[in-house]
Amino acid sequence: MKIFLLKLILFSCCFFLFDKLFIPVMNYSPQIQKDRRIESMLNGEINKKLIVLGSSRGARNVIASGLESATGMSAYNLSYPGSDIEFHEFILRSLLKFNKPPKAVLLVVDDPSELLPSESITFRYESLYPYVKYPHIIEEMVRRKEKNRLLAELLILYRMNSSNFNFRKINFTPYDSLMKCGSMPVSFISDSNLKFDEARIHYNKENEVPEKIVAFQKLNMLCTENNIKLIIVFPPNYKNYNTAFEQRIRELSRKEVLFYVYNSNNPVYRNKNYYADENHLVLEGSKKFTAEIASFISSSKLGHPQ
Amino acid sequence: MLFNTLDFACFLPIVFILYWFATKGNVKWQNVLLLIASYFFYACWDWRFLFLLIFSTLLDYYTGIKMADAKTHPIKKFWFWLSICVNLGFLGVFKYYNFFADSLAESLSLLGLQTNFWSLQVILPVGISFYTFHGLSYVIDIYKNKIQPERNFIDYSVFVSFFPLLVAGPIERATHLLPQIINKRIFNYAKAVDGLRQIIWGLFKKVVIADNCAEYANIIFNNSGEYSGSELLLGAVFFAFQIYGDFSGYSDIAIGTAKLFGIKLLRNFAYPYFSRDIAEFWRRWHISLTTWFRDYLYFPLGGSKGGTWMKIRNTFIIFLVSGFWHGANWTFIAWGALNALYFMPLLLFNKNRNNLDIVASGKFLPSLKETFSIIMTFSLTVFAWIFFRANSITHAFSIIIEIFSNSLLTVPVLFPKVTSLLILLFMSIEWIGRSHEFAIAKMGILWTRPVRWLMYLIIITFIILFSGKEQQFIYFQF
Repeated sequence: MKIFLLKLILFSCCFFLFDKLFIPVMNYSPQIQKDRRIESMLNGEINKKLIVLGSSRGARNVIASGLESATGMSAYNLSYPGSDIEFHEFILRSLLKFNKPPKAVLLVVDDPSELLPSESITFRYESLYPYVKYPHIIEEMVRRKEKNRLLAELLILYRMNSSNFNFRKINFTPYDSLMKCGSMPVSFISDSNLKFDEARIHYNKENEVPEKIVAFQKLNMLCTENNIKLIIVFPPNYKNYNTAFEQRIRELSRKEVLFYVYNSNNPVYRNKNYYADENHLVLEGSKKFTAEIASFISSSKLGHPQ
Repeated sequence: MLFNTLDFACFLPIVFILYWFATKGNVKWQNVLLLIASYFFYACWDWRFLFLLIFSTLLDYYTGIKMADAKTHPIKKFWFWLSICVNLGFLGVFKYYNFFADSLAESLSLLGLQTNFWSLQVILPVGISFYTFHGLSYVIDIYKNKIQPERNFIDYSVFVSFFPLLVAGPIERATHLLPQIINKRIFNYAKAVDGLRQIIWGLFKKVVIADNCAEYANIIFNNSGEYSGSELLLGAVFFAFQIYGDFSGYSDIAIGTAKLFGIKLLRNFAYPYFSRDIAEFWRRWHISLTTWFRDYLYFPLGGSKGGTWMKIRNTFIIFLVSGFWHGANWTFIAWGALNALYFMPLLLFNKNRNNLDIVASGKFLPSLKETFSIIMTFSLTVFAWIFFRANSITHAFSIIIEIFSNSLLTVPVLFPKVTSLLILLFMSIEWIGRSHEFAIAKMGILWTRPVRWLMYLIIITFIILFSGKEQQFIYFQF
């Protein structure tokens, strides 16, 4: 029995040493990422006046550089395809921790899945794993119970996952054409059989996820506390506009929040040539939509660089 | 408390140390400790169901003694049927009530009769099918005078609720496990090391193979309308590996854990995907349940002694009951029926005991004929799993129709390369170790310690790095 326990202890020591061999792998992980916006944020390199948050609708439909040239305010897009409101709240919290607070945040919401359970819109851990060398990332994983604090501090391997071992330079798909300003527009139509969806979607708030509501309200609160103007943007979709969803978002938002709803009567948003698919604009459409938002920002008297 | 969690990683060493050191080898205290640990383990899910487990234990313990002490056969029979009815009654209420109520309401509505049965919002107590079957086998064995009742309540309770097997088996027999619980257990270094190896391999199967396959199988089955035939087929194959990795992984962890306490549990899996026919598959898949049904249902029904018609009837009964045991859904019954159909030709032509040996024993690779048989058997199994995994019979048929359409010939857009490579690696190791209790049972045994330990380090690294999204063990729901 004693030999058994001694060997177990010896093996544990070996494993502890073996684990430390993976420190270079962990440190190398960020370097093979093509999208290093999170790292820039953690290094305090995103000190912009306008920040765009959202999922793929935020990433593809809003061109931050377009906003910058039209409003004169520096802008950056920190939207992540497939990310949910909890992830957006984390991004804003991190941004505020390591960078100067922006003047305004544009939150591009997902109609209708912003607060609903969804398989496609989640907290994107895979975007965070390459940066596990940063204590802030591990801290968040611990907070969200993705990782155990003690083990994360003890073991390097435990911090990582298989994506850290993909040593090839990641080849971006045409969907992931990352611009310098952080936007990711698409320049091709991915659904050629696109038909306008006339269906009226019933929005049932009973299905909402409590954690997402909390995250939404926290994001509101972060903006208020840091004197940031929050602009909630309802982007165009190639389907009927969901007013019930808009109403719900307005209900949950603080009173100082501004709302920008795309003009559903604008023929551009009824023209399928401006859409990559039902939920995303192509570059030409994104430029038009960005110009609209820029004029809204300018008219809101935010558009003066300080 | 799941086997693949940090909670269990803390719980197990504590119980292990207390078991071997604090009890000083006293079997009574060891059993008391095992019972407390087992009840704690079970209460971590839902402490309320602990009372159900204790009640079920008390019932079988008491009826067992009453049967043995009965002076007349009718009294013995009374206690026997009381136990059977109460055990199956609990199972029926907790697991099948809503199924029967809904099915009856649907059938009556087809006849134009609208009924509104009282629908129970019951939670299925974890492991109820497993510990009920433990108790049933005990009671039946006493009734048939195969064993004497256990009069020590602690010992009997440990037999029913020994934590490694409590929630998902293997389904033990009193004849096999009770003597081990009663007798003194001595620490055996080789068995303990073997147990640890089996735990590591079980974790690899569960965390690396099953959980990663589950991610894709879930996406494909939950959104089946969006995928082509080739992708749906891929989803079914991933599910086949998910359920195998999940359940056999669980069994390996359970058996390995029991070995650490000096207890040997029944084997539950023996490389079923290398089977050359369906009969062999069923001798290698969920062995403890298959043999349970054989001994306590098939043989009492007459087995294969009463001619062809009886063989067919009994085989269908066994497979249908086995399907129904898995859950209150027509999909499981269809899965059981399909397997019975697969079995029929072998049974009718007396070929169901053709492949009793280990495939390609002593050879590195199987022959062409063996390869063909293995692939055919695996394909039939995968086809049956579609019913097992689908939400309804209609869902299963919609998947099957799409699989057999032209879209089967399209290149799958969703093709997880890493998970596929992991499956290939896993099956290669299983193939190499197929003549042993588990794939890495003897792997590296003759290597020098540093090399052998390096193998363990690599497996543990895989477990940590390739951990997919944590999935509940599939068989917990049964």
